[in-house]
Amino acid sequence: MSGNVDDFPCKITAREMVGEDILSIRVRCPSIAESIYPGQFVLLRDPSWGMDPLLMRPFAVSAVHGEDLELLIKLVGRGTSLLAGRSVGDDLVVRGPMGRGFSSPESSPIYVAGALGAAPLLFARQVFGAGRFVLGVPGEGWGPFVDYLEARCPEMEVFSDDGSIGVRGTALDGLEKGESHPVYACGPMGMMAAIVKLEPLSCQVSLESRMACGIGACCGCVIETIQGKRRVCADGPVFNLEEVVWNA
Amino acid sequence: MLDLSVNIGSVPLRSPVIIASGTWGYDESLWRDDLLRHVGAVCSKAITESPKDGNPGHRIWETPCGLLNSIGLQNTGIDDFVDEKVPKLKSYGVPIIANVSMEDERGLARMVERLMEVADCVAAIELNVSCPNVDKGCMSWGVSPVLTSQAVSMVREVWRGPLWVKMTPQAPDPEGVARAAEDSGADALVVANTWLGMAIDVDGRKAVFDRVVAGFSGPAVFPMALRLVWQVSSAVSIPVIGCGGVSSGRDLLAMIMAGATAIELGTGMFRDIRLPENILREVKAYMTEEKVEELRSLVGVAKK
Repeated sequence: MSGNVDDFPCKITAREMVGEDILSIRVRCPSIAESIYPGQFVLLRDPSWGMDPLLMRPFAVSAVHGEDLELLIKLVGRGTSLLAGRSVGDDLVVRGPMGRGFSSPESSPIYVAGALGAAPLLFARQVFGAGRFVLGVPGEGWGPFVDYLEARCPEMEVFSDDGSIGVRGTALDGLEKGESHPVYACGPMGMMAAIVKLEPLSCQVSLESRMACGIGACCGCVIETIQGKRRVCADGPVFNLEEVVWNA
Repeated sequence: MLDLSVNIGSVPLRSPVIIASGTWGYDESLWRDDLLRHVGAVCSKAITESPKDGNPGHRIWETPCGLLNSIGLQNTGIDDFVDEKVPKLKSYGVPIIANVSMEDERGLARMVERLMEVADCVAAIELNVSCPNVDKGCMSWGVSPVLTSQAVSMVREVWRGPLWVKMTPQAPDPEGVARAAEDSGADALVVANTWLGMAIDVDGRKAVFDRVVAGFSGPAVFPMALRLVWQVSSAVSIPVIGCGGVSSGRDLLAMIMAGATAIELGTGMFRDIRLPENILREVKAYMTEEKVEELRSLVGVAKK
């Protein structure tokens, strides 16, 4: 599947920097807000971009508030930096919902996030219900981001590499070997690969990849799985942990 | 009544906008009537004899107004195309162009023989002698008039239907390659495929792509593609299909005025999935304003 390939004009309804290079943005798009499922993503473009940047940018949805989608965006390049310069009331174009999201859990899930990987998991928690939420961040400088997340999920268990926020360690320190609760994870590839060693009963991971089309056409975003190369945009972005070939 | 229909040799198209190979998937959600009714034909992803996994490592890299790709012809092979894809695609009512990518002569012959089994469902073969992203075959044939001629002749021996040749802009003598293709039995030329480019990951201090070089496309290449269309269409008498950076109705009109009969859209589709519709709206407005009833009357007018 390629999700809904329609583009919708939308307006920015709220924006807030939650750290030096992390933007929280809300866009009003009723048709996507009513149909999007946790783990699916949207493609975003600013009509003022013209041909540069050329491509739409993929983002996870971190929450739905009525007709609004909430996104958490790390400013990593020209496209995201330009988005950060936009204001409430400005127009954007959004396409979605895209991709295959998380399956419904059969029991209370554990959400395991590495930094910005918290975004799709917050939305999963909003729809699937509360469960343990374990977050790992690098440390110093990530305080505003953690504050932002804790305001939405007060029971969040926070780990940081340098120990400056929460407990020293990584998000995986919040997991036990052989977890019997379903695990939903999103974060750096290394973090998710390491979950394999913990042998959870079940785990779904949301992956990120550089995309061109975002609709399943170009095969630019593939990852290695036990069934061969699969498209993150259309076959994912959510995969079962054991499907992914982590040392590819 | 404005007439935007064109004929590529014996292939009639309701619209001069063709979706280029590699930029349209087989997923059902893409084959919607409202998206395709403005499209003249859809080129399949490149088909190889055996299934191909494509290239490892990074596969795409955006540049200002452009895109580098190193997909490496990922596809499920000729048998899957004939047995699984064609039966599904034929019901959508859009002409399907089979983009056939050659590695060697034996493989090419087998692919064309298999396509003969579904010849009534395939509007044309687009012989891809131009992909820059594989080590074996493909572009190495398209840079040479002699090898291009050899490849076209091989297909012609088996395939009775329309045959297009997708050229590489890397050919040192594009007119020579074009004439060789025409003389060997090609019915049309697609001008062109992606340009060779590369990118360096400055932070990592290494080439972005495992193969170092990649194919460059997007609005940035339009002037170069336009120049090739002008050159090649002046050298042959068969129809030329312009391909490279077309992003607007005015781009399409420029390609037509330079000598193209139709155009293929590739990277532009990634930015705007309704690009065919939007392009045609702009073209119709131009034709109305300029009192041009038939688009085909503009082919090559800039040369006259």
